[in-house]
Amino acid sequence: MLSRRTKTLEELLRWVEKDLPGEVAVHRMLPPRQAVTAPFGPLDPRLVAALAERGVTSLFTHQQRAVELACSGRNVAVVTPTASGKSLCYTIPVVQGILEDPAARALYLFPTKALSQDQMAELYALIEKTGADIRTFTYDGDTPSAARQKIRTAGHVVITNPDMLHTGILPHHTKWVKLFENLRYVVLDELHTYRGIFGSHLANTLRRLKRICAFYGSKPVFICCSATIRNPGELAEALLEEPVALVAENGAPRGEKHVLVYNPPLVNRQLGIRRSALLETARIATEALASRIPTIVFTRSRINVELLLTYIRQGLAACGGSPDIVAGYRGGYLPSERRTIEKGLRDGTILGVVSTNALELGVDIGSLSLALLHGYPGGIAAAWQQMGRAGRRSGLSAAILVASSFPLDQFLANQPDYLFNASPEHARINPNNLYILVNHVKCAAFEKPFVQGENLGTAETGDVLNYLEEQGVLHLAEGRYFWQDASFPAENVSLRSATSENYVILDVTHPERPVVLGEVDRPSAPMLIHPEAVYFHAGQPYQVMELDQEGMRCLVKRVDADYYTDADMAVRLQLLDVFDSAESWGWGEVLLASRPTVYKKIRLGTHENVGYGYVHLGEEQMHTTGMWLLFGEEVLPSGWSDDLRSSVLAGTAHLLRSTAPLFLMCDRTDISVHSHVRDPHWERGAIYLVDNVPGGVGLAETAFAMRGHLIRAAKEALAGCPCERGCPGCIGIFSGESGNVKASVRELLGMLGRASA
Amino acid sequence: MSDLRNRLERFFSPAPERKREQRQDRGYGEPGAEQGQNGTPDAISAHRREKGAAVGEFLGVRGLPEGKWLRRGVYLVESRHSLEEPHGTVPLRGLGESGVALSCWGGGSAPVFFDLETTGLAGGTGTYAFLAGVGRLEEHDFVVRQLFLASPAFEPDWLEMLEELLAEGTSLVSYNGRAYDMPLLQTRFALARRTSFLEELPHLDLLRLSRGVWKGDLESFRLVEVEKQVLRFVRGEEDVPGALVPELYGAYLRSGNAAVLDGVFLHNRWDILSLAALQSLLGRLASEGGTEARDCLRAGRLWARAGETEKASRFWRKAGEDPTQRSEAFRCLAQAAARRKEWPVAEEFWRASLSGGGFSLVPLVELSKIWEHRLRDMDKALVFAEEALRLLLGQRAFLPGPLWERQRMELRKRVERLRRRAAQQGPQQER
Repeated sequence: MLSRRTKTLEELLRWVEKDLPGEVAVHRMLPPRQAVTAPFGPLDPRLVAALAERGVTSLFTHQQRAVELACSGRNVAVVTPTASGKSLCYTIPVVQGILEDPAARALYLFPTKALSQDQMAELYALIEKTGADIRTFTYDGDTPSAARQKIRTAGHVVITNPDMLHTGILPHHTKWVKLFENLRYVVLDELHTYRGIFGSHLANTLRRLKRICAFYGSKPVFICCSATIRNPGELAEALLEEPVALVAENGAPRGEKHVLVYNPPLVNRQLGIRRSALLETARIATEALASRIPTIVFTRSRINVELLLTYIRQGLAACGGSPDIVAGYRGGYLPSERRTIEKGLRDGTILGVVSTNALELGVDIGSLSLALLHGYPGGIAAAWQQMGRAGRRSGLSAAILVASSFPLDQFLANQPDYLFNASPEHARINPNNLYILVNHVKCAAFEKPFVQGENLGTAETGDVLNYLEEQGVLHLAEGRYFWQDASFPAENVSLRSATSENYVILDVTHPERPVVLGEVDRPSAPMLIHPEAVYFHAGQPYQVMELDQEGMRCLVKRVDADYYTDADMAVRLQLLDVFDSAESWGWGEVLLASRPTVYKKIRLGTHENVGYGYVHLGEEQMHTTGMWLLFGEEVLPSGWSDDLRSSVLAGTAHLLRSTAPLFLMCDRTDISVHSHVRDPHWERGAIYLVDNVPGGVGLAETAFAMRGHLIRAAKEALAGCPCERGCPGCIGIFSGESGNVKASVRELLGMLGRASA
Repeated sequence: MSDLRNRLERFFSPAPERKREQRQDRGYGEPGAEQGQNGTPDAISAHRREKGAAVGEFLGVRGLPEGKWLRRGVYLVESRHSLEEPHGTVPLRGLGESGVALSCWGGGSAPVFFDLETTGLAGGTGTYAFLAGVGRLEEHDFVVRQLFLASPAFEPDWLEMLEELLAEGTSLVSYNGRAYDMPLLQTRFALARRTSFLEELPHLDLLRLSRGVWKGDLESFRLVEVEKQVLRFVRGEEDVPGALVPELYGAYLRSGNAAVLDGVFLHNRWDILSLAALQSLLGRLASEGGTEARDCLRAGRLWARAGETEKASRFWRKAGEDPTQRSEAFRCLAQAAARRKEWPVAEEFWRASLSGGGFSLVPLVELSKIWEHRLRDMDKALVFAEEALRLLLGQRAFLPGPLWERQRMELRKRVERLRRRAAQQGPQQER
């Protein structure tokens, strides 16, 4: 089946277009671009020499601009595609600053530990060549306590993450006097990840950071880097609450790049069933790797990573290649395993990698020629980031999106222009979200007493401080609020909504010496590692013997299974308490519970169902707040079938989910929507919009307060969307013959407007 | 404001079943529900009026023990204790001598004992000290000075006065002060934008010393436990458990009534007296080997940890004169010799320790190891290993099953290996 002769990338693309049975919906060529460079400007000769030794003899214009701005004391946000040399944008000002003044300090914030390690290595390589005594350290949960003392006083560059800044550094700022007195630069990389609730938390953490800096008499310059989003400058200014100069024109060269959308062939025209996108993706990846084309494959789930890995390895073995040139990469692999894979990719011992969005962030894996997307990742920005993983400064690269059978993917296959014309998503934050603000006021008061009338950043704190004083958390004396509680507030405030609890997976194939295989986050455990599940790790099947929920351990054994398991989740939304209501709207406390019910055994290769079993595990529960909108018989036309009602409610919910973040100033992922044709509590149609954070952070409450705006915006969004029968930007994609869902949603919203007018 | 309060309360106590827990969690519940009579809105505004007066004018603070205001917000309470009166069973005499005897660990001839009461154990910049007890010898009395911070607003002055008090001797003596009290003070000085020389002073931490001396003898090294077991001092019911201290200070701040802190002042004074008594006892132990034979062993251990092997061996030999301590003393001597790599000496002491009776698996195993790896006589090594195994088999009833099983496996392997090596015979090279 596979041709023996190896292909160049051009030939591979031609093969996809001509020889594969599916259709290429679009093939665009993005032309190459020349480098636009600029001289270094007035930099320390040691730094210039060190750069030259690393092969950098001039800067790209965006780098030069960023360096110039930062060195002159202005905050800067650089929007950088992959392989545009973003780290020099901050490394040069930082090293230059320390060379000028050896007392100067810099703080790097990366959203993940892995990125810290990466940057540390790169920065170190440059510093070494300058010959100066500039000390760089990573400071995170893994830093041995013996080393911490030295880092606090001697580290010129401290590389850490927001969580560590929040719980480990700021509340202990007196141990970091040297750093805070001399803090010249703060580097915020991967700025686009700081959106929604996480971003709102970070904004408050930065408020606290600046407050402590002011206490020690420093005022750092912020250098931010962001992937492409719609509003990078706006996001940077919202996070920093200071003017930020935006550098968006990219001076880095780019080779010719091809973008294709490939739709697998129909195998049953009547039912509209297509060949599995997963198998097609594996096939293209195998062909590319057999031709030694460096390839990255993105897919949406961890199971799919393992399946693709297995199929690609089988394919490579079948055509006489080595299966070891491809590796999997996803959440749950051990850090050491990941480092090995990253290194293998950089030095070329590994040619291909199959990944979830874990590799979207800037982990350095060198440059690849081909990015294969198994399915649309769900957002324009994410899609371009994944496609951007393939890209070289010269020479050809390509990205192929293989459309799955999901309606959204099929929409893209039918209207591929959407991919090129739609703007990337907005990133929004709300640092003054009351819940988040109160928590950070507590943390800030712990760090240093508030003076009456003192704000936290731009947020007024008077009412909050008085409230906390009444509660006995603060004590007011001589015009200052002192922390008066035995607790350590930062420990009770997590910057991230997702739990950090993990199950450790132990391989007990040889019971006398169990081996730690990997980990699974708690919410995913019921799906992936329920008892009897067949769990794949690095392409090897394991059977789950025991899931120890108290000890957070999962015992597995190597098996020779030719199937994998896939569990069905039952999600339940239950109303617990009504806080307020008006007309058909309300908000209150809800319980979101999910439980795996049955699992299917699915044969590898054919994906046929070869059996099933029941899962006996408790519910994963989340208490949070939700807003609801009810639809009585008076608004739902009696002529609508149940099918249509269900689609219309789901479509309306999808529309609300897209428009609500605008008012709630949160990210899409911070809320979830649920629609019930017949809600068990209200006994009629209902749509819920729920805070996707345990306990809730006020999103449902705000949505309720702004319900009028919400509906108006939804109507406008619907009217302004040029699609005919629905698209990802408005109500979502509906297949089936339940009628024109978009028209029906419009009709429904019209009646709502009348009812609540 | 009331709208804000409603919103906050809703957020911080969302789930019905969690509401009850959170009620107890000071700060999140409804203000009226758990603050008792003080919590009604009227009482809140009343106590605020009162408190405004208390903080604005420190003389308005009620209920403090007898003492004097040194500065605005800084209050001193002094008490004198006769040196003849024992604390528990230990007299406070000879504090200078005991300090000198412990100079190797930071002690000195004019020790200053100190202990802080703080607003919590959380650490970080949000925890501060409000009461410092400072004890030292003055002519014929032991004097305890307690420096009280009437409100966190006056902390810089309080720190300055404390620094003066602490610097009046040759060295500081604390219980866990190196890990807790001193870093906390450093943090407070840093927050006041000052540096302090206190960290440079010699500092004897009696917790560290006690751990070394009574390791294995005491279950807990909390000061109250050590007092009870070692000093035979039992605190009266007036004492306040340390865990309640932060809450009581909070109650005082809200009410301006310092009478609630009576127990805290007493607690802190007892801490200082216990420190003095403990130093006195440890000093005697280090210089004379204490009062009982076991103390000689402990003294040896103390000196060994300080690297003074000569002194340590002297105490162990002395302990070895007492038949009840003989085997343990010889074990210590054997281990010390092994650390010096004096194998024949170690061998001799291990053998000597066997004659002391008791369950002697460890010496047998060590002897076997010395013969196998150091002195290279497989036959002798085998004899001791077999003896150990025989001994272990007889001990089945006295050891926990898994431990016994593991030791048996290990010894079996050892015996088998030694049999093999003995069969090959001759002085062999280590594998």
